[in-house]
Amino acid sequence: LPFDNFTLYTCAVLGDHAYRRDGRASTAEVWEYVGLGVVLLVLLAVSVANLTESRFWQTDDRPHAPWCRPGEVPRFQFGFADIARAIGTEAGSPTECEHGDDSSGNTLQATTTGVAIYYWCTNTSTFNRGQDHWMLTPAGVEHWTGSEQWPRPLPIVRAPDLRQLCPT
Amino acid sequence: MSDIVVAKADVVERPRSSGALAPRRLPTAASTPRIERPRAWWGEELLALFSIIVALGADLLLVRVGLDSVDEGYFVEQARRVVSGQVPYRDFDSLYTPALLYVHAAMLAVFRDSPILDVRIVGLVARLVLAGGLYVLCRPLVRPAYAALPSLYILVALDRLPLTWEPHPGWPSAALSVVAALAYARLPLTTGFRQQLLLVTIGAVAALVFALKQNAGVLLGLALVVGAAWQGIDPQRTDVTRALRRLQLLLVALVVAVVAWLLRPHASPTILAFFLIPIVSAVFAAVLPVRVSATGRGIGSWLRVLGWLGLGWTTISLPWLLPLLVAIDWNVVLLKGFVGLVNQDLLWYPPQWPSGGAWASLLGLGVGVLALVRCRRRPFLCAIVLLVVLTFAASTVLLTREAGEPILVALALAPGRASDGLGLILPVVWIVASAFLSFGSMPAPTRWWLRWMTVASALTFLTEYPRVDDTHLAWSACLPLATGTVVLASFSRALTRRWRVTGAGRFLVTTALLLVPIAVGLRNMSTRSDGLAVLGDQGGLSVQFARTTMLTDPRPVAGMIVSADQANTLVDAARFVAANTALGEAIFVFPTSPLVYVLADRPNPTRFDHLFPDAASPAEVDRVIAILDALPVRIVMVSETDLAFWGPPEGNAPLEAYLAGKYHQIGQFSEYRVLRRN
Repeated sequence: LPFDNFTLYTCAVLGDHAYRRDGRASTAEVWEYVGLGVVLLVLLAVSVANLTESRFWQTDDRPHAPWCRPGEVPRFQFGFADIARAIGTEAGSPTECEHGDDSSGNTLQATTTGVAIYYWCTNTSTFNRGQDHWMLTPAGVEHWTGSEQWPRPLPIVRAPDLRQLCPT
Repeated sequence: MSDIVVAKADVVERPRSSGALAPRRLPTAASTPRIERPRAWWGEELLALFSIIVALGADLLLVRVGLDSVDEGYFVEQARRVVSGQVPYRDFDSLYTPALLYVHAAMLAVFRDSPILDVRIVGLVARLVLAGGLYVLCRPLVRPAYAALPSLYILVALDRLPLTWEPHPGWPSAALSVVAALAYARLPLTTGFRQQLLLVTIGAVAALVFALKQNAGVLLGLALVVGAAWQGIDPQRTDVTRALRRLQLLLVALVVAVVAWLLRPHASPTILAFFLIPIVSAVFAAVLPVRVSATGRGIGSWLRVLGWLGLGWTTISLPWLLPLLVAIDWNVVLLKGFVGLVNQDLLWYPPQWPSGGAWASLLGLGVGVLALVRCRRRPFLCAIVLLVVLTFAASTVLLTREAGEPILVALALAPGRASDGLGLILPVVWIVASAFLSFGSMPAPTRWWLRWMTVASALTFLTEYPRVDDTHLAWSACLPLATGTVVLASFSRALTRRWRVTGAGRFLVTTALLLVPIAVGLRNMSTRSDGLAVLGDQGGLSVQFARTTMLTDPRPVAGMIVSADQANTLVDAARFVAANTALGEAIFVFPTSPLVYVLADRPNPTRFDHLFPDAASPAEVDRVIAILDALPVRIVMVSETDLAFWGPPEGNAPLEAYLAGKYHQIGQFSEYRVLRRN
């Protein structure tokens, strides 16, 4: 049977008779050292290989602006770029990369003067700076002051989605 | 350290024709593996039992802590449905055989205080039976310290309470599987009527396991059937007739084919290896050494064992199965889950194997400590190994430390993180090692015990499929852990004797062998305290506890202690739902937070307490929509976390579109959104 040799070896390794009385290493003992050494070397190789690829060594010293991935710099894109172009210096310079808002599903980007918000449900980009508010509509940029509430309700352009409900 | 000491069996030859159930030898206490009990071990016995009692006591102390909106909610809500007169499968969908639902319902009917506590008490009793059963199962073969290890490993390293109490049929089914394995292991001690009675009892226990959790019952039954065929119930008889030999080989082919068929939907080389290697090992251990002899055990003896087992199974199963079939008007399609005819893709949870190399460092630490003990009389070698051990220790921390984490916290969490994924592999290692160990030199009763446990472990471990995760390991790995502790004890003894290790060396050997299980335990301690406590570094390692609240209402959770976060979200959302609906008014919770039905004390008008994608057929989803429309259901609650967890809507897309179109949001409590009909 294929196990006979294994059983014999196991008994030899586990049994007391593998020891020699003269204190010198028996064949089984030598194999034991070799076996332990090989296992340790393999495990060491796996550990060291992973250490060299570990993020622990990969330090990225460049400062990351909030919400930016490594190498990315804050800049206006898409609707935010359009509204910033339209209202000029009032929009300031972006201080972070655009990012989602978990609670509303909208997209935000802070600047040196205020915050740009993209409303997902109405497909509208806005910019708020204190009491001043701007929104980008198909007719151009609208400006109003006071409450952040829009001057008129905008139509919801998204299909109903349970995972991103739009206010009705 | 541990000694496996086996007394010689007292064998009395009887005529060969007497059959397997006829007494072939006089059973005595010496007929099964047992260990000498020197007086010095009484203290250890008490200490081992005390540790198990402490672990169970800690669970009892935590009985009022935490809430699990998903799994706990599922079982409590279904028990409430049973109490209200509904019949599982006919009135509501259930993933499991019904026994636990009725046990929970009975608890709810008797103790009308808190349904949450009721189901937790059932879970605690199951844990008690499981822990005690494992100890008694292992104790005849190993010393008390080792016999306590499987129980402690399950209670400390695998159980997830209070993060989640999981009032799951896995607990009682695992406990009863251990009882069945224990009773089977006692068979050689009995003869005649007592043996027949024990076989009937084992069959009955297997039936109870089936009534609790169908796959556990089927696999335990399979283990009993093939175990009886492959090695019988008499440790002294290893020879079989040619006919039984053919049957044994046929059963081998059948088991491998069934397992391969079961794994077919997610068959990959690793998954096949993970589940088939234990089976193949068990087959080698139990079938390979059998000799063919004209006077050996025949098919008749196997059939007689099966007959008694079947009698026990039928006695328990028919009295509940027949009334259930009548209640569902013999619409057996509703019970298709009983025989595994369910969409495995829904339940499939792929294993998370060890990755990142930290596992190698942890194993290296264990092997390194063993090598240190081995080389202790060779200073040069010892120094080299010490250097390697220190390298492994450092790399364990470096490979697991998170960015910006204080070094003390990283040090404390490193062993647990490094063990990620290793816990899944341990049962496979134990089963394979146990199979090999059974080929060593040992008395027949010990070998018989090991081989029976190897077969039972390999087959019951299949309950880990299709959800190959740590949670299910607490139930699927019970028997592999029992065999594992015997393997560990044997290996530890062999090493200490061979290396002539004494004193601290013995402690080091044992620690090295237990390093991975200990690390798995540390990882689990971190997981189960999630949301309640976190490690911090404030001038030294410290534990920071989350703010908790003792709830005073709603009634089902009065007196429960939850994190302030959970009180402000789940509980507040349920209160809001209750305040916006009338008593008895139906609500709908989507997709998988049925605890809200319990907390708000409002009924679910649909069949589904869990409605994850594709849990319902397209026709059933249409039926759910029709019910929401017809009543109509005014208030719906949606969990964003559950939606995200289950991924794309798939078959639930029409329902999601319906809810989004017909309802609008009136309240939000973090992840929970409350919608009202337009």
